[in-house]
Amino acid sequence: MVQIKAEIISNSEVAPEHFKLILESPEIAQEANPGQFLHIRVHEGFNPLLRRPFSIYRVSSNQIEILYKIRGKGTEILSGRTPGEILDVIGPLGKGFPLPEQQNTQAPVTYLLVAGGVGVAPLLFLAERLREVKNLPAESGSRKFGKKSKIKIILLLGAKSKDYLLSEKEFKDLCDEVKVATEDGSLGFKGLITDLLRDLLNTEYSLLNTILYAAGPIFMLQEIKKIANIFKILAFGSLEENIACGLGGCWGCVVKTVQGYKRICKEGPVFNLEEVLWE
Amino acid sequence: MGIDLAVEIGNLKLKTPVLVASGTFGYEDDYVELIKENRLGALVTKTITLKPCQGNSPPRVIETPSGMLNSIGLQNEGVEIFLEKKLPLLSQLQIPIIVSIAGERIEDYGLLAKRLDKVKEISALEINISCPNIESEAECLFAQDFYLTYGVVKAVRESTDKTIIAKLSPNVTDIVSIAQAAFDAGAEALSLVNTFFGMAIDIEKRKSKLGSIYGGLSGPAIKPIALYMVYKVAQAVKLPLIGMGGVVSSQDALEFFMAGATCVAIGTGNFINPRIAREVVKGIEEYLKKNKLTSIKELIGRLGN
Ligand SMILES: Cc1cc2nc3c(=O)[nH]c(=O)nc-3n(C[C@H](O)[C@H](O)[C@H](O)COP(=O)(O)OP(=O)(O)OC[C@H]3O[C@@H](n4cnc5c(N)ncnc54)[C@H](O)[C@@H]3O)c2cc1C
Ligand SMILES: Cc1cc2nc3c(=O)[nH]c(=O)nc-3n(C[C@H](O)[C@H](O)[C@H](O)COP(=O)(O)O)c2cc1C
Repeated sequence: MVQIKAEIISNSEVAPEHFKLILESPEIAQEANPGQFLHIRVHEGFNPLLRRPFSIYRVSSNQIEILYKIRGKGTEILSGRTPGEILDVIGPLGKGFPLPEQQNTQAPVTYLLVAGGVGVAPLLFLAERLREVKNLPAESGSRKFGKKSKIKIILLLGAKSKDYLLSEKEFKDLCDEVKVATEDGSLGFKGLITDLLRDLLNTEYSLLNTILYAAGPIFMLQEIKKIANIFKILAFGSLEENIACGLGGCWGCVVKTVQGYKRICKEGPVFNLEEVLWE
Repeated sequence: MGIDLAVEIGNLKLKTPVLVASGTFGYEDDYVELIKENRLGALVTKTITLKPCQGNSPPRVIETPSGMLNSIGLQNEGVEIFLEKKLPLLSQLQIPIIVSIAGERIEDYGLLAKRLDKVKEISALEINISCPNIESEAECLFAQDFYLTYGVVKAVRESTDKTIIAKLSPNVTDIVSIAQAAFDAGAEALSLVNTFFGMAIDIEKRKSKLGSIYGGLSGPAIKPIALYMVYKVAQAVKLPLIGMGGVVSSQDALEFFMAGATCVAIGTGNFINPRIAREVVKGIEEYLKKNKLTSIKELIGRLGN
């Protein structure tokens, strides 16, 4: 974790009210894991006062990207920052998604990524890392060649309507399948992404050996917790709360879990949803 | 000639007059690394209690114009785990550690002070009688009542030889009389102020934005009122004061010194920039140089007119 002054490489609108920001920071890029976040000071002033947290969307060797939605003053100001300007950034912070170490050749496994709205952000980075695992040679001891990978990466992508679908193309390059749900039915399944998820698990038994990773609005995560429980699958979700220090110091960003209150910024933002007790 | 930033709080000698306020510092390795070069005069820990305390239901923080509300509720693992696990990490900073203590009853404060009295890594105790986020046996904050303030400070005074600092609440009609009570009971310094009671409401949900309905307001929004209280107390009570409330720059800190504070503590400012203290210290030095002063003491309580 470092605190740095990072140069803005680009900051552009990718969908209505959604921006992609690219920052120069080899230090953070090399250390980051999917699910971790950056704590960004959007300007030098004191109103808004606090930093704003954003999941890491993508990294390259020298750069980090975030994808953000304009919600209020902080994100509004951020969207007005221009290339060449400098941002004060702390990161990478928090504990990300647990990743498989290598290909497990014993049983086929599906990684099911469920992204609602701007929840795609941490999942694209995750999909990239999962893809790397999938591309690894199978474990020694088994036949290395001529064997199809037993890892399958499926993304369920949800949005209000087709104009708001984020990163579909990027995911298509990484995932074995991309399934789309829009609330207005303008593309793919008509309805909530969690309905699509339920349908899928009901019909495709091969999905029962699945690890699910989710990011999106809270009601989506709450529904996924229920679904994961019914189908007995392991589900991890990236949670959000108002974050003040971002460094584990103030105990402001907690969520209730079976082991008491835990900090989103330190023990999270990714939690096994089974542990989370929403009130 | 060099610039002398050293000040004294009771028996404590501080190399610089800039502290970290209670509850705004993390015990994590990373954090310690980040603030290593902050030139802090001392660090005040998050308030600890005798027994573990689970804290309030979320949301616990919400930003307001130039400030923030918090209702953490003193979540902490209790004094024993603090001593075993957190204190060793803090000692690495090699600056005086001031431990903030709180309890639900007067005797809790005495017991805590006794437990910490012989711990050599601890330089002083700050008595938090002003946390807006916990329930106590009193119907109000201890720091809202003259007699309770006296009682708590006295109980601590009788249980330790360490320097003791009473942290007062701004949520009172007459801060001077409370400060006087703390002085009479044996406090060697006063920290002022803790947060102001405050609220924020989500009009769509028609619910408070904080899980526990109300909380404490901090940050630049409270600075003018905090400064006023420091000034009033400095005029009336002859004790060193640790001024705080919205310090986010050296200019803010200098205002507190001129109002009568011997040192300042930074709370919310650490969230904006964990390295803020070093900028504040540097700015103070530059100001002294520019004005041909050699010691910070030449500024304390020096207000013209
Ligand atoms: C760990 C973590 C990772 C995050 N990653 C991303 C990301 O990758 N992309 C992204 O766009 N956002 C992300 N967020 C949310 C982002 O931090 C907030 O949207 C941002 O702080 C809002 O700041 P603001 O000043 O624009 O809005 P504010 O003025 O703070 O709020 C404006 C309005 O938006 C609402 N709001 C604020 N935060 C949220 C939220 N998290 N969810 C729903 N409503 C909210 C407020 O209640 C208010 O009504 C993440 C949050 C966390 C905790
Ligand atoms: C998140 C948060 C937690 C706090 N926790 C404590 C605490 O445990 N004990 C205490 O005495 N004060 C606590 N405070 C109050 C601060 O120490 C300080 O008195 C107050 O915030 C005013 O300073 P500031 O405006 O610089 O933040 C807390 C403040 C904040 C913002």
